[in-house]
Amino acid sequence: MTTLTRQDLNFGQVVADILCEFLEVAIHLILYVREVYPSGIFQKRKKYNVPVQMSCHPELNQYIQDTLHCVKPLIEKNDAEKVVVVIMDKEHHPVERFVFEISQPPLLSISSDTLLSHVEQLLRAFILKISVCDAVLNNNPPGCSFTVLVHTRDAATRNMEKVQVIKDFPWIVADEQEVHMQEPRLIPLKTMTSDIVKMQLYVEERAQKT
Amino acid sequence: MSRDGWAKKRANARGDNGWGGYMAAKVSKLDEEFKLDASRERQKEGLCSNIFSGVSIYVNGYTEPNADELRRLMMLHGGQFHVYYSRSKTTHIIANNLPNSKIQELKGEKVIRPEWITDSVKAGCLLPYLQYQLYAKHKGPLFPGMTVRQTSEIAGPSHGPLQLSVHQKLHLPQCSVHHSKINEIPPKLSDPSPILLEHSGTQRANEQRPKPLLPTYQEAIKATENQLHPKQLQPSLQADSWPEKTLPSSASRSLSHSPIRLNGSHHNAFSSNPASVNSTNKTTKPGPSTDESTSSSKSSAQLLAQTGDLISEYYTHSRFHQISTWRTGFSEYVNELHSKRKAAGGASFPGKERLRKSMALCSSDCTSASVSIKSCVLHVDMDCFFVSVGIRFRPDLKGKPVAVTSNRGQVRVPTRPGANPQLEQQYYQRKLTHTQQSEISPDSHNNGVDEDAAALSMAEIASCSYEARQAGVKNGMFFGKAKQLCPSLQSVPYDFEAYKEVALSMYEILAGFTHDIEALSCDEVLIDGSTLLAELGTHPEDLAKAIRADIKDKTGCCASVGMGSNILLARLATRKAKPDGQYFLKSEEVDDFIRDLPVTSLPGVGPVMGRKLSAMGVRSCGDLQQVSLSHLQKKFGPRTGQTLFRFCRGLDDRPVRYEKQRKSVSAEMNYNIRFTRIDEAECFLTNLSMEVQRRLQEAGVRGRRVTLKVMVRKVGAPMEPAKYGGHGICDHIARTVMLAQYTDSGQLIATAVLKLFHAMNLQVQDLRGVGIQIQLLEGNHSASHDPTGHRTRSIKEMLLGQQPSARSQSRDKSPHHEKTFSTAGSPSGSSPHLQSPAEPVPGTSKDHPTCSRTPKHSRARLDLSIEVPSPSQVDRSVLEALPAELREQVEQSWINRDGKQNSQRSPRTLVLQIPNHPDSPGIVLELPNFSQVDPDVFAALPRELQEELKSAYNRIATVQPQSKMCKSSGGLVKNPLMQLKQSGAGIGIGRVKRRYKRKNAVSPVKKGPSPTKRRQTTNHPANILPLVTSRELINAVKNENGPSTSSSNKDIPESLSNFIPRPAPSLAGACDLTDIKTLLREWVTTITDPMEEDILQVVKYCTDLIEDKDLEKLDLIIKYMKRLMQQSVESVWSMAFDFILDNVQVVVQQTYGSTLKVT
Repeated sequence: MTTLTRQDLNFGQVVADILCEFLEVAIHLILYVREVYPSGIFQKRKKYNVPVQMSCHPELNQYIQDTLHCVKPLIEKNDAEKVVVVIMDKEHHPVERFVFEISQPPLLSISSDTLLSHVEQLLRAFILKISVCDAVLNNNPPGCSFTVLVHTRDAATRNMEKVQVIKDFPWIVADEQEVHMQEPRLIPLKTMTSDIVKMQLYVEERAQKT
Repeated sequence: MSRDGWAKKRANARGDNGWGGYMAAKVSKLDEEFKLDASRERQKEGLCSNIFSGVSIYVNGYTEPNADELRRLMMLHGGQFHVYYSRSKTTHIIANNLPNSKIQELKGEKVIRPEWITDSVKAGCLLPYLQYQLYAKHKGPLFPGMTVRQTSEIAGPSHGPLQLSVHQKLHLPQCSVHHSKINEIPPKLSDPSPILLEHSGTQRANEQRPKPLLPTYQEAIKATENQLHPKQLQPSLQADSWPEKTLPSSASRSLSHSPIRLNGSHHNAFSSNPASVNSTNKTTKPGPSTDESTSSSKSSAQLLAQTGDLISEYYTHSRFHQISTWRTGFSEYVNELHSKRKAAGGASFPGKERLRKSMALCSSDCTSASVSIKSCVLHVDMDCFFVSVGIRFRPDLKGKPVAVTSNRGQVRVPTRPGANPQLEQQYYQRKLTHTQQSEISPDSHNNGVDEDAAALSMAEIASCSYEARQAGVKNGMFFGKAKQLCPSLQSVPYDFEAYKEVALSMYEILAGFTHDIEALSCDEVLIDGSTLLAELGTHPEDLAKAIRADIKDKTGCCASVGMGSNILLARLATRKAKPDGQYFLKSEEVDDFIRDLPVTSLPGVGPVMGRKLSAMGVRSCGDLQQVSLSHLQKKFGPRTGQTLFRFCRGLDDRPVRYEKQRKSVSAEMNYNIRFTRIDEAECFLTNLSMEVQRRLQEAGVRGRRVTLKVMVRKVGAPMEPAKYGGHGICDHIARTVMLAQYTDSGQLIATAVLKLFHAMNLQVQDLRGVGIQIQLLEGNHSASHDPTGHRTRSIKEMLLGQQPSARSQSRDKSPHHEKTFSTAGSPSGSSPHLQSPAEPVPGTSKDHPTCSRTPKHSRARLDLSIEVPSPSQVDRSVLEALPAELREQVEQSWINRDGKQNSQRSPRTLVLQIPNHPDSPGIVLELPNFSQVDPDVFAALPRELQEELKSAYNRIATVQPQSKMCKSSGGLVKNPLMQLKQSGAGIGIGRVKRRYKRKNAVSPVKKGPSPTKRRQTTNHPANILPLVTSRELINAVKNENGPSTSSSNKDIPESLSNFIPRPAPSLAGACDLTDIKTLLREWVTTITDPMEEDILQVVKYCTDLIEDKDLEKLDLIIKYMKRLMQQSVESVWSMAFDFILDNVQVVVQQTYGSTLKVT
């Protein structure tokens, strides 16, 4: 049995792979549950042994993939503090934010084969929480769009400028308008602590949505 | 102030339009003040002459003797002293040193050394000034271009000291000093723009230092003599472009933490057009980072000095501030009286004796009345204090409407550009008349407002006479407005000396009657007359009459006295007694009296609460009496509700305390706050924190709750307020944070405040006022008992013979150096690395500096590692003063150390937790073997220490196995949990939560480290430990662990610093959700009245969860508590829940910027 520590090169990659895979599923599901796009473009799939919804619109899928592709190097280096899916109203003011707060667990190791199935269980819980989150959230106004923000740790931004993962798909600094939300209310959804990642998901919701 | 004269002078020259005549008014006011002071000074000194008649001096820069002394001399000897230089009026300029540029300006003026004045005074006649001239001949202009430039380019009105115009300061010497610095910049900065940037940044910081010190001047003169070429100066002349140049630096800094999103991410799926979105890309070019960071750090250090000056200057010059501090002074005066009486075994009460005599004369008819009065409080209040003092020697003004204000009768002032007084006037008016504060917007201009209001004086009325009040004038009104209401209103200037004098004599008079005095302010006093009246057998009315007569007699001012059976009633009675009267509220009249009073007349009921009450339909106290206690408590909180409930019935059980407990310590500034950059604001906050630290230390208290109050220009309000330097129309924002530990360290406060400040996310340009308040104070009990006034905080302090005062001094001098020490709570480490190598286990050392913020039970003490200092560091005399055994031990340890050169740690390393709190025993973490302890020494220790040591040894016995394991494995990485447990146990076990233990005997009591502790850990330890130290530390680790340690050790520095593992947060040992639920249920169902300590514990656990980023659990627990507590029959439980929720929301707000949605 091999024990990998954080210093091993592919450790970060493993974590990033797992997380990005999860994030892709989560983003699709959020878009479905929060009705950002008509439900017609979604198909039912199975992931983490639970049913999930996935968009079948190629451009949207490509966009999400590209985005996560750019997020991955950040997660690898533990530079991403939060990945945020922001749902905005027509005026591009955020109404809801799904915040995935990612940090490293106190003890980092990939020790055994059971780990991955354990992580899968935890992620499944996230997915299930997301699929029922409309119960605790107010309805969004019509005509919403979404965007993905990343809160980086320290000076990671500077490195990101240098390395463009996908050509002509660079990071830009978010507008204040997109970041600032009036009277945000916080609704914690799920927290997980595993050997490879510690993550919590909460939703920030604007008090007055319309 | 005088040293700013050059800048102001120019302003003065153009002042007629640009400054609203402000300078002219100020200069003449200062002249008047000078005259007034002069006559007083002459009276005091007796000897005086007129040798300087006709001489007007202006002091420039630093002089010996200083400007104040010169001013006094001029007063005494018939001269004039100008605070602002005036070419026409000033005859002599006094200076010790002058920079070249000023010499240029002063062509033809007499610049004379101050010795001329002192020598003239000695000689008794005016000596010829020729031989005292600073420069015999004026050199030809060095930079002819510059003078021209300077006069032509004095920019418009500068916005106060923080925004000094660049040009005028270019001629100051510092910039020339600076050139040499720039030349030292490494060659890699060949690109001209970064140089310019660096240059402008630092220079700016420099130029803002308002008071150049002597050395800089000399340096400067040297520099100018070295022929500073115009060419060299060139870049600095371009520095007027600094605002643009420095912007990228701050932008790029803020960039590092800002959220970013992928380009084109407004993804409207069906019409996504990447090309068009891409074209909107913002390209933020990363600035030359390294250069900027150096420049910003450099400049911020200087900024720090500069804003520090501003603050201290503000507080030394603000006379209102002084008045407000008098109360403390008078309280102390009363305290002193008490202690004197104790010492003397009895004091003389002249007033009392007189009263007794007069009583004896008419004793026959008074005795009957006296019997019925049990307790009586007298509230003595001077009638419109400032006014009556101001006109006591001006009988012509008596009976006329008079107002005390800084304005001198002039009603109209020209407007300044950028200001919109009309708007403000309107706003203030609305605020006065409307009960609801309405939003203002520039569009909603009501043209009905008199256009003239724009030009009215904005000087505020500090106090006005009753005649003026009848005409509708109120305190705090603007003078211009008041004059409109009451055209015959006369203005009287402030006379601070007289206020002090009158207040003091009033206190003396009252002290002549009794010492049971509570000083409320300089003109307001509470007296507990119960014992006095009982002793004399007089009626309170007679006592009041006597007091009032005495005051009137001695000070010439009127006082009103209200009497009642408690403080509340006495105060209310005073209202009825005024003006110049007295009123005794008899207990049988109370009910009728209070029923008709409006609620707002109750102390503590302000406009806001008044509004709330009137919304409930409550206007008079009679209405309020109908409201039930529980309803009041629900509406206003348990405390306030109770108070209201009692007050409206005339009940008040507050005792008259001659020694007042401070509730809060604060420092606030809302005059002349104009920041341009964020780091200016940060520096200012840091300095203000240091001011708060000073005050905390002065008061000998430490506080826990830190509130940052800011005033921000209201959206739509004019950029420049009508009042010069004032704050205009503002939004008031306050944010509060609870520190984990009581503190008086400015550094800690500053970090907390800065965090709050950043969380507010404000435009610094719009800041108009800043204040820091510390609440939840905890006195240094030992400080009051200790005759020296200083606690000996640590053995180390004792060993090194270092006094806390010395520490605080050094702290004041070098706030930067002190950083490591203060955060570690160890004031006296002779070198920073003392702390770290002494660590028992390297893994825990990171926690050390943060231990000053440990949670409640352990926060009361500081974790402090002590190593016997090396011989060179120890003061010999101190060592000799030690008891023989101790000295031997210290010396022994030196010998041991010499023997073991290689060892990093001396065998005598003691790691002690030094009690910072008198009743919380410290805990020893690592100790020499018990067998090594000399029993004699042990016996010689104080009993508490002995007990501590004993318990520590017991504890060590339990922890030993763990620590052994840690050491043997050397496993920083593998066993960090163990290590933490050890330290955690060391900290926690000593003071367990007794109540929980009792209640929940099953659960083992264990404590995790506090959230803040962790917060700091996860931050950058490099901030706390100097870089070198951590290096050393790691080296030490390696040495100790030997080669056997795993290779992964090498990467520790980075990885370890980022996340030190910590135990999960737990509530009384319970960690699992179900356990906690059980515990909470038990708590809520079995106990009817929750203890505050328990509630705080729950709050702490919740904040721990937030720190641990486990919001899900928090949410579940909050919801569970909500169900539990709101179902409970006891209303206290729902209040407890509200309290917990409020506190949790504050922390959530701080961490996430939003509040929990609780449904």
